[in-house]
Amino acid sequence: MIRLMVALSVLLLALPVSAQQRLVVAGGAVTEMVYALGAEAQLVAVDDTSLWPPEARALPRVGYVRDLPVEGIVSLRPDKVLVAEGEAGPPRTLRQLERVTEVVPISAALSPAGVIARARQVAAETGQVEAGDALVASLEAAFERIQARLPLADPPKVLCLLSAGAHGVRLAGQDTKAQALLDSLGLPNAVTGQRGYRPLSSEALLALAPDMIIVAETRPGEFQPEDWPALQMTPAGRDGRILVADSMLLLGFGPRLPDAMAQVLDVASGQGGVAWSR
Amino acid sequence: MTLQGITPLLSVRGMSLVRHGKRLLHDLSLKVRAGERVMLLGPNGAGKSSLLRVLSGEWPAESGAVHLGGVPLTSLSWGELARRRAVMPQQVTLSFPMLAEEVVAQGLPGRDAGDGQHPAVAAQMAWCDVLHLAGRVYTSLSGGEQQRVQLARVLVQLKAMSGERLLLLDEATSALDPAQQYRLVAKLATLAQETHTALIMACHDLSLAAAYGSRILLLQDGQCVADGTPEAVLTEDNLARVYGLDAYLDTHGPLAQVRVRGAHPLCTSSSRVSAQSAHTVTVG
Amino acid sequence: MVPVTGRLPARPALVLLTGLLLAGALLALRTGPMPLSVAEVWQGLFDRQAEASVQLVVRELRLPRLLLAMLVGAALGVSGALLQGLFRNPLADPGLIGISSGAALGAVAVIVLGERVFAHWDMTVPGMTLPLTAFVCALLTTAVIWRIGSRQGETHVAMLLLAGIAINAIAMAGVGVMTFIADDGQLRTLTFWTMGSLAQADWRDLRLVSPWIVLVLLAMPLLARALNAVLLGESVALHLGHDVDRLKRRIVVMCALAVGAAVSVSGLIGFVGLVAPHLVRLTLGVDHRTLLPASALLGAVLLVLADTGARLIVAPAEFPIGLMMALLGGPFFLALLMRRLPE
Repeated sequence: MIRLMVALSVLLLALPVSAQQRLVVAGGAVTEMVYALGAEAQLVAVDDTSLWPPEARALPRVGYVRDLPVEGIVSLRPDKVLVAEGEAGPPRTLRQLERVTEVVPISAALSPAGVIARARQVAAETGQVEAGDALVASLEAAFERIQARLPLADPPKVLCLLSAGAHGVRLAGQDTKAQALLDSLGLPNAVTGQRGYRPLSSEALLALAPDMIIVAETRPGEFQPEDWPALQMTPAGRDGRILVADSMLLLGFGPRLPDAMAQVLDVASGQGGVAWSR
Repeated sequence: MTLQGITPLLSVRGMSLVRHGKRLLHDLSLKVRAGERVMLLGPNGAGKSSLLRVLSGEWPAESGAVHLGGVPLTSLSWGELARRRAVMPQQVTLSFPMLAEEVVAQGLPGRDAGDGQHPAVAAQMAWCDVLHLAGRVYTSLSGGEQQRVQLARVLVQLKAMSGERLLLLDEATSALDPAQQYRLVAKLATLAQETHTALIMACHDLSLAAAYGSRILLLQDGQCVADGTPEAVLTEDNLARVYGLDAYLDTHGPLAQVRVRGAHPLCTSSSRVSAQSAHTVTVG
Repeated sequence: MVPVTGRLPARPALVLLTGLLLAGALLALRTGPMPLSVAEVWQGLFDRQAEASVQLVVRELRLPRLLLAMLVGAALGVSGALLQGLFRNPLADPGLIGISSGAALGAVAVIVLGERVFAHWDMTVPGMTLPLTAFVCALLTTAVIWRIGSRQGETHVAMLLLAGIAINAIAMAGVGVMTFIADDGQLRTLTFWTMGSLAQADWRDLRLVSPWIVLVLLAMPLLARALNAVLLGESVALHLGHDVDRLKRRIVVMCALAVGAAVSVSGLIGFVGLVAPHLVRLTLGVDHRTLLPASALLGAVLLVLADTGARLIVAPAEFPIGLMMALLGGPFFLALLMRRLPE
């Protein structure tokens, strides 16, 4: 009997520790959400797109989000794997992981409402109920502040560029996260009738004549404006309405979406931006 | 089945060969019995190698009939052919480092093929005086050594056959020194007589042909110019007409030999050139 | 006198290679991001009561992956040896007759056009659209090259190689077009495919691939003697009684089946087909009766080891095995060539 009591009390004592679940996250925006909820202690590994906040870079990495290794993840003995829906894969890996652990798809977000839904979902999955409520409240407040500045009286025609390492600089058409970002602010895309990302040419830059340019970099300093002299000849270049920022901030649709929207809005309404005519 | 020595082993009737739009052999007829040693002579481009390729079954004749052992050549499979005739081509090049004994062992039939330890391999290598080269890499051998290794391979294949057989040699001794050449061809001639083998050998050495051929076939421009004993074929007239040589057959010594006084000026062979062009025109 | 080449006796060498393969297999089952003891491997294989993650890792991940690495390595090694013998060229590889480029075009098309074009098919064989399409495209490409290279029942090696170069260029242009229209995610996926990987191996892949490769491995000894004869030239092989045109047909069909199947599940893995036969020729000689099985075994050993390495070096992430082979195989092959140059 005493033995049973001891065993039970040990079990009870152990509970808070076991409640600290082991979490693997695949998807940069989901990782950001985990940090925003203060649940980072649960993280045992993240994928290669999880670069924010900087502390996340110190975690073990399981490779590229679309090419996740089954055994690598299993070896970490996670209680739960949070995967960004539509990004994490390959599907076969996810199906195999489901046999030994809980694989939770975190819904894709392409709007402020989507980001709030995401925050709620990640909060539930990490057991951070209070922190979740607080995060949702602050996100809602931030989105309201932005909504108050909309619509713009004279919305600029925006060209979104993605500067991604070896793939070079590409412009964003429809069906992209850049389009979703513009939609959330009611800004027209300078590129019409094109789906996805397409290589950028100087001539296209001139022909599109954007009033504003957003450059999403996958690494800081990756975009070299000197490589694009045509930039200065566009209305955006002349007015200095160019925003260069990290791609995970601009296109991640994580907890930093209000910041991203605010930055875009600042430049769009003529309150900021970078003139590259050095 | 053929009656040995009476029915010819090889019979060619009105055979012509056209390759890539060019007539190489024209209306050839020929009967060869087992035990005969036929020397194929003729200047470069006369059609010696082409004839050997047709007789080996490698190139199908365009018209006419070729029978081996009474059976049309075209009705025999490659496997059946390999049990009735052995061929030594002019040149064999290797791109991988095979050992000499491995090359020779390719001549063994069936499951034995490639077995370098088979007794027949050593026996034929010894016959060709290359047994000491057995473990050497073929490509490291001299031209003459390579030729003798190839000959050993052909003889291994020949020896495994039963009944009457055909041995086709295309300038098989061209890289050997004169002593080896005479020694080997003499042995081959004896072998042909003793083993029911019809030997057909293309060569350029007129004296060698005269010394060991029981019969000589003189080709020019894909046609048979003369066919018969060395004395009948290697006349001064034929040698001048076909080769442009001022030469005669000397049968006084122990071996017959062709003695050359000199070469005629090129103009005497102009008839040859015109004859060749006449043949090429006939191709449709 | 040039010394007799330092060749090892064939039978012990084959036994040694088999032993190496078994040792490599045990190593592959034990090592990975999740190290396991021999006892755990045993439990994972046979004990239904074992821990779920151990069962998954051993039975569903490492075992099919190990078997696939063996089969793919054997297929690549033996096809390299077959084609090098047939073309009488130590540099020949399955890429020459369009197998790789055809498979690449098929795979990339599925990756890029995936949901739109192949959706219906994917319903019937979920998850297998890519390997199936790659396999079929590999066979088709080879068939086209073969038809162009054959005239009146004769197949000319030079013509075959030229047709191969042209068709390969066309197929790679197709891959280029697909690359151009691919979106970001597809681009990453197809890049990974061209680097080769066995990370996705499962039992269904094995079921798709193993019949063809096993068939080829079983049939291969039947061609050894004819291939030996072909080393002396096509004419000599004919003289020795081998139907060379039939041999060519058989080898091309066998290589297309084996490599097409292999590439369809593993992506592009180079160098095995080149290095394995070359090493065997250096140590055991050129007799295809030994060369073919030894190349298959060595190819399997190389791929099992490379795949184990690929799992370890950046664990818990994975390194592409095709890259691994090229990174290790390239310098190794160069070193071999340099050592032989003075001769």
